[in-house]
Amino acid sequence: MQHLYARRIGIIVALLLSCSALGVARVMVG
Amino acid sequence: MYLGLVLAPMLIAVSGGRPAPRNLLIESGAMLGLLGLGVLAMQLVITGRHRWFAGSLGQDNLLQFHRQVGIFGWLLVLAHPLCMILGSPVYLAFLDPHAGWIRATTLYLVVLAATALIVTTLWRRRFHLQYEWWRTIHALLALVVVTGGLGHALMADHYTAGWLTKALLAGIIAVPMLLLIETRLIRPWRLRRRPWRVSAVEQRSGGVTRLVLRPEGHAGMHFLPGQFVWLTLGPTPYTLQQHPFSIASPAHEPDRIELAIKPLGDFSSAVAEVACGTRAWLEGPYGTFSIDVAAGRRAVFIAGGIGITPMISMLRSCRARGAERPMWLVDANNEQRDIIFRHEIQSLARELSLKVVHVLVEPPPQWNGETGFVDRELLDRILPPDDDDIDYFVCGPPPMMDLVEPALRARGVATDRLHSERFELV
Repeated sequence: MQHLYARRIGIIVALLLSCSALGVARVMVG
Repeated sequence: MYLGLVLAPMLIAVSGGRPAPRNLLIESGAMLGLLGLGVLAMQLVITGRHRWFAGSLGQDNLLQFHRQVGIFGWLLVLAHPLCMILGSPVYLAFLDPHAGWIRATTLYLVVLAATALIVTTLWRRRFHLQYEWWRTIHALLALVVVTGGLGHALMADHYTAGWLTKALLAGIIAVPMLLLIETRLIRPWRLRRRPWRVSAVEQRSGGVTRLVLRPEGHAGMHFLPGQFVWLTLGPTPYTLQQHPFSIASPAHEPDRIELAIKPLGDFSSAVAEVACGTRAWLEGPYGTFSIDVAAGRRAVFIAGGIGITPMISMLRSCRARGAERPMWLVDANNEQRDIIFRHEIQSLARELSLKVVHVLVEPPPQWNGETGFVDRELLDRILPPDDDDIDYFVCGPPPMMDLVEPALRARGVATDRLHSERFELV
């Protein structure tokens, strides 16, 4: 892995995690 | 593994049963808060130099990830109360010390500490904050944020009403905190059994200090050429000062570690004044930036300034092993007097199948070498075509890396053959 991708990975991980959290929130609302 | 551990607090919380449903904004706020707790707790692990976690990722890659994810964690800390309050003004009571002073104080403390973490890191130099103090403050603030965040999650009592959920959540957050204690307290204690002593201090061109260290009462340190160590100088390893430096000596000399240190900060500037005989402590070796990962392929080294140090270790090791693979070294510096290891590079070029190209930004009048920056045009001119059998090693200051990495990618270099290491990370 090199830095060009290390930068993008941070953003991709942040998006993935945010979507997961919002998805769980949606499920908990019912 | 990382994603699983980060999501763990949220999954533990929702697995404890389904409390009375609230609106989407409130639930989103709650989940973002639990995610924030997971993200920030894992930050303690990312920078802990744990081999089981770092794997083949470089420490610089991990630090860059840590930096980005840290900003994301801070945004989560801010988004959590914002969503909750927008979802229902009832949650304004969480900010009111009269309605519960422990709860309110914890919340303010976490938000302030998380903000201070970000501000002191992004603008450390602007605040004239010394690296050593920043590193200590960073760890303390991180502990405040994670402990406060955990306390707040346990006190919220919505998803965390059950004692089992509370225990699991506390348990999963305690692990990264214990790992931080291991890194900062237990690891230096283990280092005490492996002292080193400074055996030579020499001034080199470019203001560089060459430090040679010898083990005391142990066999030394086995490392791969190109790896780095964390250096502490002084009678005890328990000190605020611990700095990473690439090893310049060849890998076949575990009992003699040579470091080349350029004065870029307070500590590296003070190294020139270190006396022979000073006690030293080395933690490591770390890093995956090594020619030993490239199985006999041709190699191109592109160094900027003090970034030559790991290259020298690799080239010296190649010489000791009698390597015959063709190699190229592009050594970029501002001025001629900044070229480090100049004479040794010349002798390495004679003894190895090594072509050396020095590049100067500000060349003297009589200079007949390359000039300017290491860009695509220069690389096309001096390097052979990339036939999928060349490994590239790039180490230098960030502006050079930002120019060289895309240029190599544009030349068709696959990412698994492009090895890079940055310094000046913080």
